[in-house]
Amino acid sequence: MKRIRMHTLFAAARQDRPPRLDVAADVLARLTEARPAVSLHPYRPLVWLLTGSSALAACIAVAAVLSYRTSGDPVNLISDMISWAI
Amino acid sequence: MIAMSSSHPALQISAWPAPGRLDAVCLLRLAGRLAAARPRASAVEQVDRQELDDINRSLQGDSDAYARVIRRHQDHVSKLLWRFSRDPQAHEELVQDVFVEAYLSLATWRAEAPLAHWLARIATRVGFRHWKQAKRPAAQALPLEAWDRLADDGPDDPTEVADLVHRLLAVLPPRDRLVLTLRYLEGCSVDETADRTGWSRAVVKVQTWRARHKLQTLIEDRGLESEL
Repeated sequence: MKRIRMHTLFAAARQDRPPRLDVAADVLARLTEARPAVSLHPYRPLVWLLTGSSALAACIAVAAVLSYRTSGDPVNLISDMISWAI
Repeated sequence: MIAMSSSHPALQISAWPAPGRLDAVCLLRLAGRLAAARPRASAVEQVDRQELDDINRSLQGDSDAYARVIRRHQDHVSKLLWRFSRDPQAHEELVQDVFVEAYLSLATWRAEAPLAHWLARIATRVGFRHWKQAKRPAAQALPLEAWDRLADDGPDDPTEVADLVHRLLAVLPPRDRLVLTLRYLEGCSVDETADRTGWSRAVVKVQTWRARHKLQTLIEDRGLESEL
Protein backbone atom coordinates (compact mmCIF):
# COMPACT_ATOMS: atom_id res chain seq x y z
CA MET A 1 0.00 0.00 0.00
CA LYS A 2 1.28 3.45 -0.89
CA ARG A 3 1.96 5.77 2.01
CA ILE A 4 1.55 9.54 2.25
CA ARG A 5 4.01 11.08 4.71
CA MET A 6 2.41 14.41 5.46
CA HIS A 7 5.27 15.71 7.61
CA THR A 8 7.71 15.19 4.75
CA LEU A 9 5.33 16.83 2.30
CA PHE A 10 4.73 19.80 4.64
CA ALA A 11 8.47 20.24 5.13
CA ALA A 12 9.07 20.21 1.37
CA ALA A 13 6.15 22.58 0.71
CA ARG A 14 7.57 25.01 3.28
CA GLN A 15 10.55 25.59 0.97
CA ASP A 16 8.29 26.98 -1.74
CA ARG A 17 8.54 30.75 -2.22
CA PRO A 18 5.91 33.13 -3.65
CA PRO A 19 6.56 35.30 -6.71
CA ARG A 20 8.13 38.66 -5.85
CA LEU A 21 5.73 41.57 -5.82
CA ASP A 22 5.56 45.24 -4.92
CA VAL A 23 2.11 46.30 -3.78
CA ALA A 24 2.96 49.69 -2.25
CA ALA A 25 1.69 51.79 -5.17
CA ASP A 26 -1.52 49.77 -5.52
CA VAL A 27 -2.25 49.89 -1.78
CA LEU A 28 -1.79 53.67 -1.67
CA ALA A 29 -3.99 54.05 -4.76
CA ARG A 30 -6.71 51.95 -3.13
CA LEU A 31 -6.53 53.98 0.07
CA THR A 32 -6.82 57.21 -1.90
CA GLU A 33 -9.81 55.90 -3.88
CA ALA A 34 -11.51 54.72 -0.70
CA ARG A 35 -11.19 58.12 0.93
CA PRO A 36 -14.48 59.85 -0.06
CA ALA A 37 -16.63 56.86 0.84
CA VAL A 38 -14.79 56.19 4.07
CA SER A 39 -14.45 59.80 5.18
CA LEU A 40 -18.20 60.31 4.94
CA HIS A 41 -18.83 57.25 7.02
CA PRO A 42 -18.50 58.76 10.53
CA TYR A 43 -20.81 61.64 9.61
CA ARG A 44 -23.54 59.46 8.16
CA PRO A 45 -25.64 59.31 11.39
CA LEU A 46 -25.38 63.10 11.67
CA VAL A 47 -26.53 63.48 8.05
CA TRP A 48 -29.56 61.29 8.78
CA LEU A 49 -30.30 63.26 11.96
CA LEU A 50 -30.06 66.53 10.05
CA THR A 51 -32.37 65.26 7.27
CA GLY A 52 -34.90 63.91 9.78
CA SER A 53 -35.00 67.04 11.90
CA SER A 54 -35.32 69.26 8.81
CA ALA A 55 -38.26 67.20 7.55
CA LEU A 56 -39.90 67.36 11.00
CA ALA A 57 -39.37 71.13 11.20
CA ALA A 58 -40.96 71.59 7.76
CA CYS A 59 -44.02 69.53 8.80
CA ILE A 60 -44.40 71.54 12.03
CA ALA A 61 -44.15 74.82 10.09
CA VAL A 62 -46.86 73.74 7.61
CA ALA A 63 -49.11 72.56 10.47
CA ALA A 64 -48.59 75.86 12.33
CA VAL A 65 -49.53 77.95 9.27
CA LEU A 66 -52.64 75.83 8.63
CA SER A 67 -53.62 75.96 12.28
CA TYR A 68 -53.13 79.72 12.38
CA ARG A 69 -55.27 80.17 9.29
CA THR A 70 -58.13 78.01 10.58
CA SER A 71 -58.13 79.22 14.16
CA GLY A 72 -56.81 82.76 13.69
CA ASP A 73 -59.19 84.00 10.97
CA PRO A 74 -62.42 84.19 13.15
CA VAL A 75 -60.47 86.07 15.79
CA ASN A 76 -59.28 88.52 13.18
CA LEU A 77 -62.87 88.88 11.92
CA ILE A 78 -64.18 89.63 15.43
CA SER A 79 -61.39 92.11 16.12
CA ASP A 80 -62.09 93.84 12.78
CA MET A 81 -65.79 94.04 13.61
CA ILE A 82 -65.03 95.49 17.05
CA SER A 83 -62.67 98.06 15.55
CA TRP A 84 -65.39 99.09 13.02
CA ALA A 85 -68.01 99.29 15.78
CA ILE A 86 -65.77 101.48 17.90
CA MET B 1 -2.18 65.76 5.64
CA ILE B 2 -0.89 66.65 2.23
CA ALA B 3 1.97 64.56 0.88
CA MET B 4 4.27 67.23 -0.48
CA SER B 5 6.92 65.19 -2.22
CA SER B 6 7.28 61.69 -3.52
CA SER B 7 9.69 59.92 -5.82
CA HIS B 8 7.15 57.30 -6.90
CA PRO B 9 4.52 58.46 -9.41
CA ALA B 10 1.72 56.62 -7.65
CA LEU B 11 2.60 58.34 -4.39
CA GLN B 12 2.14 61.83 -5.80
CA ILE B 13 -1.21 62.21 -4.20
CA SER B 14 -2.60 65.67 -3.52
CA ALA B 15 -4.55 64.80 -0.42
CA TRP B 16 -3.84 61.42 1.04
CA PRO B 17 -6.18 60.29 3.79
CA ALA B 18 -4.86 60.21 7.31
CA PRO B 19 -6.27 57.29 9.30
CA GLY B 20 -7.48 59.75 11.91
CA ARG B 21 -9.78 61.29 9.30
CA LEU B 22 -11.25 57.96 8.34
CA ASP B 23 -13.05 57.50 11.60
CA ALA B 24 -14.53 60.14 13.87
CA VAL B 25 -13.60 58.23 17.00
CA CYS B 26 -10.04 57.83 15.74
CA LEU B 27 -9.90 61.58 15.17
CA LEU B 28 -10.74 62.26 18.79
CA ARG B 29 -8.28 59.65 20.05
CA LEU B 30 -5.49 60.31 17.58
CA ALA B 31 -3.30 62.20 19.98
CA GLY B 32 -3.59 59.42 22.54
CA ARG B 33 -2.91 56.76 19.94
CA LEU B 34 0.17 58.55 18.70
CA ALA B 35 1.51 58.64 22.20
CA ALA B 36 0.65 54.97 22.67
CA ALA B 37 2.40 54.04 19.43
CA ARG B 38 5.66 55.41 20.78
CA PRO B 39 7.84 52.73 22.30
CA ARG B 40 7.73 51.70 25.90
CA ALA B 41 11.05 50.85 27.51
CA SER B 42 10.51 47.08 27.07
CA ALA B 43 9.42 47.40 23.46
CA VAL B 44 12.39 49.41 22.29
CA GLU B 45 14.45 46.31 21.57
CA GLN B 46 11.61 44.65 19.66
CA VAL B 47 10.45 47.54 17.51
CA ASP B 48 12.83 49.29 15.19
CA ARG B 49 13.00 53.05 15.71
CA GLN B 50 12.87 53.73 11.97
CA GLU B 51 9.71 51.65 11.81
CA LEU B 52 8.12 53.60 14.65
CA ASP B 53 9.01 56.84 12.96
CA ASP B 54 7.46 55.63 9.68
CA ILE B 55 4.31 54.50 11.48
CA ASN B 56 3.93 57.79 13.28
CA ARG B 57 4.38 59.62 9.99
CA SER B 58 1.87 57.27 8.33
CA LEU B 59 -0.62 58.08 11.07
CA GLN B 60 -0.21 61.72 10.17
CA GLY B 61 -0.98 60.90 6.52
CA ASP B 62 2.53 60.64 5.06
CA SER B 63 2.13 58.23 2.11
CA ASP B 64 5.90 57.88 1.57
CA ALA B 65 6.27 56.62 5.13
CA TYR B 66 3.53 54.04 4.69
CA ALA B 67 5.06 52.93 1.38
CA ARG B 68 8.30 52.26 3.30
CA VAL B 69 6.35 50.21 5.88
CA ILE B 70 4.73 48.20 3.08
CA ARG B 71 8.03 47.55 1.28
CA ARG B 72 9.64 46.47 4.56
CA HIS B 73 6.95 43.85 5.28
CA GLN B 74 5.47 42.84 1.95
CA ASP B 75 7.76 39.84 1.41
CA HIS B 76 6.82 38.43 4.80
CA VAL B 77 3.09 38.99 4.26
CA SER B 78 3.34 37.64 0.71
CA LYS B 79 4.98 34.46 1.99
CA LEU B 80 2.24 33.96 4.59
CA LEU B 81 -0.54 34.48 2.07
CA TRP B 82 1.05 32.18 -0.50
CA ARG B 83 -0.27 29.38 1.75
CA PHE B 84 -3.79 30.78 1.35
CA SER B 85 -3.90 31.33 -2.39
CA ARG B 86 -1.55 30.09 -5.08
CA ASP B 87 -3.25 32.07 -7.82
CA PRO B 88 -0.82 34.99 -8.42
CA GLN B 89 -3.56 37.53 -9.04
CA ALA B 90 -5.67 36.54 -6.02
CA HIS B 91 -2.52 36.36 -3.93
CA GLU B 92 -1.50 39.90 -4.85
CA GLU B 93 -5.00 41.17 -4.03
CA LEU B 94 -4.86 39.46 -0.64
CA VAL B 95 -1.50 41.08 0.12
CA GLN B 96 -2.98 44.44 -0.80
CA ASP B 97 -6.02 43.76 1.41
CA VAL B 98 -3.72 43.14 4.37
CA PHE B 99 -1.96 46.49 3.99
CA VAL B 100 -5.23 48.35 3.40
CA GLU B 101 -6.76 46.80 6.54
CA ALA B 102 -3.54 47.43 8.44
CA TYR B 103 -3.60 51.10 7.49
CA LEU B 104 -7.23 51.53 8.50
CA SER B 105 -6.49 50.12 11.96
CA LEU B 106 -2.90 51.36 12.25
CA ALA B 107 -3.90 53.69 15.08
CA THR B 108 -4.76 50.65 17.22
CA TRP B 109 -1.27 49.16 16.96
CA ARG B 110 0.30 49.46 20.39
CA ALA B 111 3.99 48.87 19.65
CA GLU B 112 4.05 46.13 22.29
CA ALA B 113 5.11 43.57 19.69
CA PRO B 114 6.82 43.86 16.31
CA LEU B 115 4.62 45.09 13.50
CA ALA B 116 5.33 41.84 11.61
CA HIS B 117 3.40 39.86 14.26
CA TRP B 118 0.45 42.22 14.03
CA LEU B 119 0.51 42.00 10.22
CA ALA B 120 0.67 38.20 10.43
CA ARG B 121 -2.56 38.22 12.45
CA ILE B 122 -4.24 40.44 9.85
CA ALA B 123 -2.88 38.25 7.04
CA THR B 124 -4.30 35.14 8.72
CA ARG B 125 -7.69 36.82 9.07
CA VAL B 126 -7.67 37.98 5.43
CA GLY B 127 -6.57 34.55 4.17
CA PHE B 128 -9.15 32.72 6.28
CA ARG B 129 -11.89 35.04 5.00
CA HIS B 130 -10.75 34.30 1.43
CA TRP B 131 -11.14 30.58 2.05
CA LYS B 132 -14.57 31.00 3.60
CA GLN B 133 -15.75 33.01 0.60
CA ALA B 134 -14.30 30.59 -1.95
CA LYS B 135 -16.17 27.49 -3.05
CA ARG B 136 -14.67 24.39 -1.44
CA PRO B 137 -13.80 21.65 -3.96
CA ALA B 138 -15.07 18.11 -3.44
CA ALA B 139 -12.61 15.39 -2.45
CA GLN B 140 -13.03 13.91 -5.91
CA ALA B 141 -11.67 17.15 -7.40
CA LEU B 142 -8.17 15.92 -6.63
CA PRO B 143 -7.38 13.48 -9.46
CA LEU B 144 -5.96 10.04 -8.77
CA GLU B 145 -2.60 10.90 -10.35
CA ALA B 146 -2.27 13.75 -7.84
CA TRP B 147 -2.68 11.25 -5.01
CA ASP B 148 -0.06 9.06 -6.62
CA ARG B 149 2.30 12.03 -6.86
CA LEU B 150 1.78 12.72 -3.14
CA ALA B 151 2.68 9.17 -2.13
CA ASP B 152 6.18 8.15 -1.08
CA ASP B 153 7.58 11.60 -0.15
CA GLY B 154 6.10 13.27 -3.23
CA PRO B 155 7.93 15.06 -6.04
CA ASP B 156 11.34 16.70 -5.59
CA ASP B 157 10.23 20.16 -6.68
CA PRO B 158 9.00 22.16 -3.61
CA THR B 159 6.64 24.20 -5.80
CA GLU B 160 4.95 21.05 -7.09
CA VAL B 161 4.72 19.60 -3.56
CA ALA B 162 3.29 22.88 -2.22
CA ASP B 163 0.75 22.91 -5.03
CA LEU B 164 -0.37 19.34 -4.32
CA VAL B 165 -0.55 19.95 -0.56
CA HIS B 166 -2.54 23.14 -1.19
CA ARG B 167 -5.03 21.22 -3.33
CA LEU B 168 -5.26 18.42 -0.77
CA LEU B 169 -5.94 20.80 2.15
CA ALA B 170 -8.45 22.76 0.03
CA VAL B 171 -10.82 19.80 0.33
CA LEU B 172 -11.07 20.31 4.12
CA PRO B 173 -13.37 22.87 5.81
CA PRO B 174 -11.69 26.28 6.28
CA ARG B 175 -11.11 25.92 10.05
CA ASP B 176 -9.40 22.53 9.63
CA ARG B 177 -7.42 23.84 6.70
CA LEU B 178 -6.34 26.89 8.69
CA VAL B 179 -5.11 24.97 11.70
CA LEU B 180 -3.20 22.43 9.57
CA THR B 181 -1.69 25.20 7.46
CA LEU B 182 -0.49 27.11 10.49
CA ARG B 183 0.65 24.15 12.60
CA TYR B 184 2.30 22.02 9.92
CA LEU B 185 2.87 24.13 6.81
CA GLU B 186 3.95 27.28 8.66
CA GLY B 187 5.42 25.30 11.56
CA CYS B 188 3.68 27.43 14.23
CA SER B 189 3.45 26.24 17.84
CA VAL B 190 0.11 25.99 19.65
CA ASP B 191 0.70 29.42 21.23
CA GLU B 192 1.64 31.01 17.91
CA THR B 193 -1.40 29.47 16.24
CA ALA B 194 -3.63 30.75 19.04
CA ASP B 195 -2.12 34.21 18.63
CA ARG B 196 -2.54 34.21 14.85
CA THR B 197 -6.12 32.92 14.87
CA GLY B 198 -7.42 34.55 18.05
CA TRP B 199 -8.53 31.11 19.29
CA SER B 200 -7.72 29.78 22.77
CA ARG B 201 -4.95 27.18 23.17
CA ALA B 202 -7.56 24.50 23.98
CA VAL B 203 -9.50 25.29 20.80
CA VAL B 204 -6.29 25.11 18.75
CA LYS B 205 -5.45 21.68 20.20
CA VAL B 206 -8.95 20.27 19.65
CA GLN B 207 -9.16 21.76 16.15
CA THR B 208 -5.75 20.31 15.27
CA TRP B 209 -6.80 16.87 16.44
CA ARG B 210 -10.05 17.01 14.46
CA ALA B 211 -8.34 18.33 11.32
CA ARG B 212 -5.65 15.63 11.46
CA HIS B 213 -8.35 12.98 11.86
CA LYS B 214 -10.27 14.34 8.85
CA LEU B 215 -7.12 14.47 6.74
CA GLN B 216 -6.21 10.91 7.66
CA THR B 217 -9.73 9.72 6.82
CA LEU B 218 -9.55 11.56 3.50
CA ILE B 219 -6.27 9.86 2.61
CA GLU B 220 -7.37 6.41 3.78
CA ASP B 221 -10.62 6.70 1.81
CA ARG B 222 -8.41 6.84 -1.29
CA GLY B 223 -6.87 3.51 -0.35
CA LEU B 224 -3.62 5.09 0.84
CA GLU B 225 -1.84 4.90 4.15
CA SER B 226 -1.26 8.17 5.97
CA GLU B 227 1.49 9.22 8.32
CA LEU B 228 0.84 12.46 10.22
